Amino acid sequence: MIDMKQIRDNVSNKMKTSQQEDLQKFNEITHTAGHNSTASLGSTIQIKGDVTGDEDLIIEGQVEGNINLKGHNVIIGKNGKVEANIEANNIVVEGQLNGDMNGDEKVIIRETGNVHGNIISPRVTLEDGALFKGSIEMEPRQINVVKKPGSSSESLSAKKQSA
Amino acid sequence: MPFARKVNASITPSENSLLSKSPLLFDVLDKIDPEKRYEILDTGPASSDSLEFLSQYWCKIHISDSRNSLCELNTEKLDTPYKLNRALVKSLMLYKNKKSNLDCLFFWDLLNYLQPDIFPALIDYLLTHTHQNTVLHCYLYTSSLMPESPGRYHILENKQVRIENNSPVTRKCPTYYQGALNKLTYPFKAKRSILHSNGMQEYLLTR
Repeated sequence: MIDMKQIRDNVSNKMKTSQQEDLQKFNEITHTAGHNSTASLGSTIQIKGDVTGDEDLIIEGQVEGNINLKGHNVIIGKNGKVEANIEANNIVVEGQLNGDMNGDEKVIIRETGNVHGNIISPRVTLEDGALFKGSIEMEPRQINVVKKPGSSSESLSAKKQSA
Repeated sequence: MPFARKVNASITPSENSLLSKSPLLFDVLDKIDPEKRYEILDTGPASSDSLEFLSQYWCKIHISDSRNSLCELNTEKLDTPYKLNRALVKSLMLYKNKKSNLDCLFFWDLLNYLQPDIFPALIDYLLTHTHQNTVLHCYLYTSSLMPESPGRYHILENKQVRIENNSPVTRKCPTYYQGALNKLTYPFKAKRSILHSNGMQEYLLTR
């Protein structure tokens, strides 16, 4: 079992500008969740084992195991490589993930994301260019699609989100 | 919108994409029962447009992104039913212990590129995960040449399909008339077909 507080202390000094940008983006995405505490796994960190805790997590390194952060948020940064099933409130993938995602609120796969696994979540966002192989369980109108500027259905998507 | 004007054009290597009406596909989608969970197998790569469209339904979508791997299968290398089955499982990721109950199969242009001797094994494999009312939707090229590799298909809101193909070269196109197609895809057989002005024949197959 991994102590999230210890990890946070170990890697906090290694946080680089790109990670801070990720953190800022992450906070923008998850601001409604109201969590102030966020741990970060730097790009040189490798973890084999289950990850649990009581705060949000940004992964830029490698994780093999299961990630259970119920009620919190997980972001896999562009450099992150994860082989794990993830349970969290919001899950954002910008790097590689081999595993299933159970997002209580939302799952987002960014255009740089590469996911091999299944998704169960009330809302799923897949950006253009994202690679995905697996299944998506959805209720009507659960998917949000972010289009690149100028794309044909950009306005449609925005209309649905505002509705 | 340069591609919007190419609706009636044939796919040539210099074009990236075109829009096509797809009445048989939308006929299937329009008949989805909103009270019933619908399961779809999409053999193509994930498309944000298609997901956007399908999000209006209560459904589970299996995105196997497997057309390239399926097209590489051949019975010379996979010389036993076991090896062939393993390769199909690896490509399509439908497992016996997590049995699916697929209502619809999106093959897009897969059948044009698949080795003919792979058809029976593929259909046999999929039968385990389908039922009597499962429909199979596909396109077949009718011209002598087709793009070198399969295209990407995006279901759009306006009852159109956007077909993208960046293949710089063409290759000879196998010709499958309806009788031959029915034989290869048995027990699925053509129920309806429409020849589009872009030279593609849209098929709907049922059991």
